[in-house]
Amino acid sequence: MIDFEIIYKTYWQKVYRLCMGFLNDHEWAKDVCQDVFIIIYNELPKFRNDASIGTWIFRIATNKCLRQIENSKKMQKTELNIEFEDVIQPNKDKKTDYLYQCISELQEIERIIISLELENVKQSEIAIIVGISEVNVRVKIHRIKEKIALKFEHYEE
Amino acid sequence: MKNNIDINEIWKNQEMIEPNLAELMKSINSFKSKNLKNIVFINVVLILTSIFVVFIWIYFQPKLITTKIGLITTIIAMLLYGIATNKTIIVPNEEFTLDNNQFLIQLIDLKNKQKFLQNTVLKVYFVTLSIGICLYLIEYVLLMNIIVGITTYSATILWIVINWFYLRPKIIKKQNLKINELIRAFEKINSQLISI
Repeated sequence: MIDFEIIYKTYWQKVYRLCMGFLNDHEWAKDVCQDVFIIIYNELPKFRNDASIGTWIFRIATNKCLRQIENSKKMQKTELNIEFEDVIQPNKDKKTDYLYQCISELQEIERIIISLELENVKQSEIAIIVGISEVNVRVKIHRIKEKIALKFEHYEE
Repeated sequence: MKNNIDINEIWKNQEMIEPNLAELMKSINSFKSKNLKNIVFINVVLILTSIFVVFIWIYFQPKLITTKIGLITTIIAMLLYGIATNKTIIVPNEEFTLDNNQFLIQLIDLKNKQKFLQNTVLKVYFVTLSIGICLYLIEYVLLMNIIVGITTYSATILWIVINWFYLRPKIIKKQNLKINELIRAFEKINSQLISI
């Protein structure tokens, strides 16, 4: 069986960034990230090598993010608490904040796809994680990048 | 944004100090004990309720079979409600290792099942409880004079009618509203997968 500690060290930042891309809230992303690793810990004995461990972990993480829709009250609270969010954000780089904000404004599936792409997950694997064709993934990535580029043009102005 | 490398680099800037693994293990254990506590709590409540009903049975020594059937029916109603309120017992947990598309379909399916179960269980609960109470009352009403007996039954039936036509639809409406909202949200996300 793959060592959980190795998985934790290898994937924590990746899963955290993925959650941040989806939620754009540090504390919430950290909580969801923790839940993801609890699921990984519990499910790991059932993991079979018919998929890569990365694909398997990202499936759990993206599904856990999708499940956050149920916490819509928290989502509304986060949107309102902009000042509070500034206080807890450990990241001082405004450009990074802006990128994550741009991503969080995309549709849910777009957020997942671009986050995986930026984590250098192969497009064929993204297709397996999301459950759409590779062609569809490619088209979507192209469009999402265009959208982000457009937003960044405004930022640089 | 000049090219893709920029966005990749910016993305990676997002870092947070990962919590200690020991901290995570602690929360895994507390998560397990929390789940266990929930199950223990429900069982304790159900057992106490049953003991209370059995106590009534022993203490008042009902003579008629209707009273005994009424008591058993009441216990069944409470058991049903107790089990159903903990949705994790009747609705299985979601499978997180599916792809997003299958996961969303699974969530929609689970929510529909949950809605059906909640509505059905509530209906069965009210019917069973009402029948139980009506049967239970027969023996004691027979001991009363006719006016008090009619008043007792009228008040009980009124209470049942209020429950059935006011309280039950209100609870169902509230439960369905939340679940329907979620189903709509999941369906909306799922439609993003279909469109290119």
